[in-house]
Amino acid sequence: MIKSGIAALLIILAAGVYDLATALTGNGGVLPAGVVSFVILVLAITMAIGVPRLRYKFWRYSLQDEELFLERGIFNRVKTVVPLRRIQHLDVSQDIIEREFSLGKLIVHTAGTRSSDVVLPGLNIDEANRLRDVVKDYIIEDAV
Amino acid sequence: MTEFDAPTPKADAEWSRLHPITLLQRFILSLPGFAAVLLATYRSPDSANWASLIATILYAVVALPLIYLRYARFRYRITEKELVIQSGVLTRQHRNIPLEKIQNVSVVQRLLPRLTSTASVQVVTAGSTTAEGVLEFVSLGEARRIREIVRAYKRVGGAVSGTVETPEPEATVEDERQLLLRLGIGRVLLSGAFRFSLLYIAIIFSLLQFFQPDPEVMTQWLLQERYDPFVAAVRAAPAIAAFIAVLAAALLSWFSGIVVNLNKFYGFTLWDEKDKVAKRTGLLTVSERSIPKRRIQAVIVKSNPVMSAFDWFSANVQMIGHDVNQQGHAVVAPFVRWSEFDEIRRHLTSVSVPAELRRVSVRRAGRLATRYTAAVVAVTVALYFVWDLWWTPLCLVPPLLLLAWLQWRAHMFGLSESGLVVRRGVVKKQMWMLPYNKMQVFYTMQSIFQRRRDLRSVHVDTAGASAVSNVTIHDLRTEDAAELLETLYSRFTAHTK
Repeated sequence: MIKSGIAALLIILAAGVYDLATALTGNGGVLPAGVVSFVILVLAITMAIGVPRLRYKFWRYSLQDEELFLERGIFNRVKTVVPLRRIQHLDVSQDIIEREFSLGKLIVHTAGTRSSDVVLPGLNIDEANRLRDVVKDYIIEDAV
Repeated sequence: MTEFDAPTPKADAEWSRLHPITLLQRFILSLPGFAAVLLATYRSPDSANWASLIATILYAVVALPLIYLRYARFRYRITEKELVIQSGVLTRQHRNIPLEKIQNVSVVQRLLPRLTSTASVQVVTAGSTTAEGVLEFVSLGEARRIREIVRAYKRVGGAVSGTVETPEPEATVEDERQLLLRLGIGRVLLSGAFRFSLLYIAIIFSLLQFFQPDPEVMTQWLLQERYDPFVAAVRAAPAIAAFIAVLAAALLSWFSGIVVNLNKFYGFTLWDEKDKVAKRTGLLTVSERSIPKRRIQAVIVKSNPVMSAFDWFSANVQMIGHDVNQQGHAVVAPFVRWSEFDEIRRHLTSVSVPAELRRVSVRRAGRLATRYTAAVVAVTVALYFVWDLWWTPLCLVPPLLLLAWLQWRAHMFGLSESGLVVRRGVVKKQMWMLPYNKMQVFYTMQSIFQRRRDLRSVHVDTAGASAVSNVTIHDLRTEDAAELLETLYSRFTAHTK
């Protein structure tokens, strides 16, 4: 969520620079100064608040006896079944923002092409570690 | 019990070097690069001779000693358990490849090594898709010896040296080979004729570009007297000239395709060797490769409308730990009848094509049609601003609608005893045979457009699958997709227990 916010900030900044440039050079074009900035600001705020919320709303996972179910996507809804015995190795990763909020993501690597890494983001770090420890036991020697 | 007759590794496994002829070969191989440097200075007229002089000195002082140093510092040895390669001039590299991790040893002979009867040995492990260890070049005998050691290790599952307790004493490799396929030259030529690719012609033209023939000289040559009537005709009817040019290009590319194909598949032979299949192919570059059966992830049959009309198909296997240049696919039968393929298929996978294949929802055709039409309309709108004949792309709509319908008709899937079979494509026909026990991860996907039409796609991921053309069953009705996924998953569970 916070990451999307930062991305949005960058876009607003870019639009602001554009506006400033047109104002300074004086050949402002069709739109009065500030309009571009404003429109993009409004759009970006909606995106920054709305998109992560929707994304969160549609993100589901559940760990079953023998498989990991994932469901996600706002426009493209994807359901994934990862058989635990197909897992090659596991990562728990935390970037600087995630560390601040003690979150983490679980990355599940399989031998598949498209799903060589299946990411489970925004987990509580303890939950991520717990999942990893549970799933770890299912890794078998020869999964291909 | 017969004596185990595989070459054993040298007892104390001393280091070996590459064949000395490597020096000569690397020298010859370095010449084109050198020539390119010289050519660059030669072609730019304002640079003086000193540039090429410097290049020559650099070549003599740096490149030539480097060839020798690289040779001198490259050592390898094969012990009971591993292959060790030491290499590097400035950065020393010491690589240990345990024999048990070796998936595949291929012996490749390009044109030059063939003249000197040396070969390059490429060792592929499961961890990577490129060759982990390359010995370039060793003598052919040494190459065979290395391969035999690895094979022998694989056969007895670890212990090689000393008194070996072989579970079943086996005869030499040659005896247990069963010939699956051998292509005669006629068949190879024919297969080239069916393969039409503009790729080679593009390569030829880019080479021409590189040499930059002087246009003036070319036109002079073209405008010689005897061509006069022809030139006049071209001037008179540009449309016909264009047609002829296209025809010539097509013929040329067709012909070059045949030549390339001949080089690639000359003498193609495929054997069954119990737990693996081996193939040998090539005219200028002879390559031998063995494919362990348990590493085969899927079998893919490819064809095009012309080929399939005459009952010709090409069969590939998708595998892991294979050369990345081939997208993880290895050709096992470049050009065979369906019945022949079916025979070979038995040796590769247990998945057979079920008698009845199901189609996906007919809305697939509608969705494709919409997509194509939208694309054409977008192009048309863009052209409206720049071109008088902006409406011409619209002529493409009827054939594209037909294509959408045909693509729906061609898209089929079915479940057999031991795997999933998916067929797709009109121009580029493909059929996947995917065993349940090789499946990796299961997906169902629904885009916002599919949601409106109550459709879903099912995708099965496998190891080594190509990212572009993979096993996806597009546009099933939602409940069918859910049911298919369930069936697939339960069969997967049953087959991997």
